[in-house]
Amino acid sequence: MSNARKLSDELLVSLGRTATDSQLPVIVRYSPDRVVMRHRGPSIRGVSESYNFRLAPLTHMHATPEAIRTLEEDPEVLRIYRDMPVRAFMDSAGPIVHAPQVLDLGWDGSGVRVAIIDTGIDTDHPDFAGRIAQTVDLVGEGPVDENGHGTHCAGIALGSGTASDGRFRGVAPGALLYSAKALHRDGQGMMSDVMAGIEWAVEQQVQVISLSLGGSGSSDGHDALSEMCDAAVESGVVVCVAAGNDGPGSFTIGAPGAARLVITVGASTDEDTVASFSSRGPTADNRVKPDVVAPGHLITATRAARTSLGMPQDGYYTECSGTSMATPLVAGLCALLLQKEPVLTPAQVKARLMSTAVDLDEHPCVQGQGRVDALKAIENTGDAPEDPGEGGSPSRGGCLVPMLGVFTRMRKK
Amino acid sequence: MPKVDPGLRQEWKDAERKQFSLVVRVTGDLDTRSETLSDLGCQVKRAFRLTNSISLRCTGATALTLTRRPWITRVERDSIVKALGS
Repeated sequence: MSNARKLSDELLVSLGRTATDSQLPVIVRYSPDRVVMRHRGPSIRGVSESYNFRLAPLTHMHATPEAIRTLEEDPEVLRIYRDMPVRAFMDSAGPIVHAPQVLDLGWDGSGVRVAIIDTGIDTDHPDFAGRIAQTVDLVGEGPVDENGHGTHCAGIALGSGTASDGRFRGVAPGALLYSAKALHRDGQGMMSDVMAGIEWAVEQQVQVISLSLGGSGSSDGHDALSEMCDAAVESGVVVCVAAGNDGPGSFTIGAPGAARLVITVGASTDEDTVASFSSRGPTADNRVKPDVVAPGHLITATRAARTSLGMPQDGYYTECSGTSMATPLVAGLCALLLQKEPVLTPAQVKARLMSTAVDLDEHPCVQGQGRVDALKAIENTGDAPEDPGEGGSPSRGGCLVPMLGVFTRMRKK
Repeated sequence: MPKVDPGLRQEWKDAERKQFSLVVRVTGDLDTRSETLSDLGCQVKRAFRLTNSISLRCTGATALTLTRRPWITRVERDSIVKALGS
């Protein structure tokens, strides 16, 4: 292929408008024969934040025009695309689960107390104005979110969308935010700090806790963090936990996603398929997990100031993917339910979400009971019998079989 | 269920002077147990009332002695957790 044809049309247009010292988000397609791709991007001057996709010889990176020309000369580079915004924003993830219809009915989570235990919160973001009830720093860095993950999750759960004229509104824009910073600015932390965050949230009498984090390896739910989550549920708090991003293999749900009483959330796409990265059950002790799935692929929500997590859209919003994103969406949905029916127990909330979930025609160890539906949950119009679904039932032994089909689901742009 | 994972116990034996971050599940009064653990040479970090457990740091040698205490029901590594979105 000649060098002129290596650059996509969109990239050629962008190059003409980009200053020499500015970077463009690009996706580079390498030759399939290329064996070693790791760290190739950052070794070129003017390239940063490279990410190698696992399923295809593609690398995402930010590159200056000069670096793009250097890449163009590389014989192993077949094509360079301008990375473009795609459709699955929070303004489409919300409609998939029918959250706007629930807002139209008058339920916005007002007064419901939701805790996000994560990397902290951008307290100055307009989408949380007047609704940050309490913050705590458990890692000694101050409550400010210097990573962006916690702010993004909080926006999905309860952002008002003020800075986007409502476009990137969260699921429960009336709920109150309790932010516990238990992860450091690098997005990592100790299990015990998260446990402290859970205890803090319970002491604050929150009604919903959202945990978009997890450890490595399969868990049987008897680790200290999972049991802390279960203890929080037993004290009356709904706890939503990310399944993990280690799919599509089975037995990839770790702690605390393997906890018995929590709502374990996998990620779906805006095409209503289960995302390939979403962790699959069963748990290490052969229980069915996740419990439900929710949109978690290419989600645009609040961006913390001075952070570059994901794919920034503007100063106030960025786009991220992961079961991290699906989890606060479900937490927000729980807040809507609890506003309408405050007497529901955590087990009843979980049962309601599961019994009203939309079947995506996947195995329970892939989709749980299906993709959540806010309207059906609020109106309690599920077809399936309500089952507390404590993840205590043994797997039916079929979790391994559907995995083959999952490999065919490629990241859709 | 064993009090401690055999692999972790072996790590303690292999590195008795090394510091380990652990979470221990205890029976009885949490404040009393925390004091006792401090007396045993542990650096107590946090106590958790919801699960009657304590996070601490101690050497491998000290960790080996903890499992002999009848009021300690489980010892595990204080593992790293990560944010799950990018």
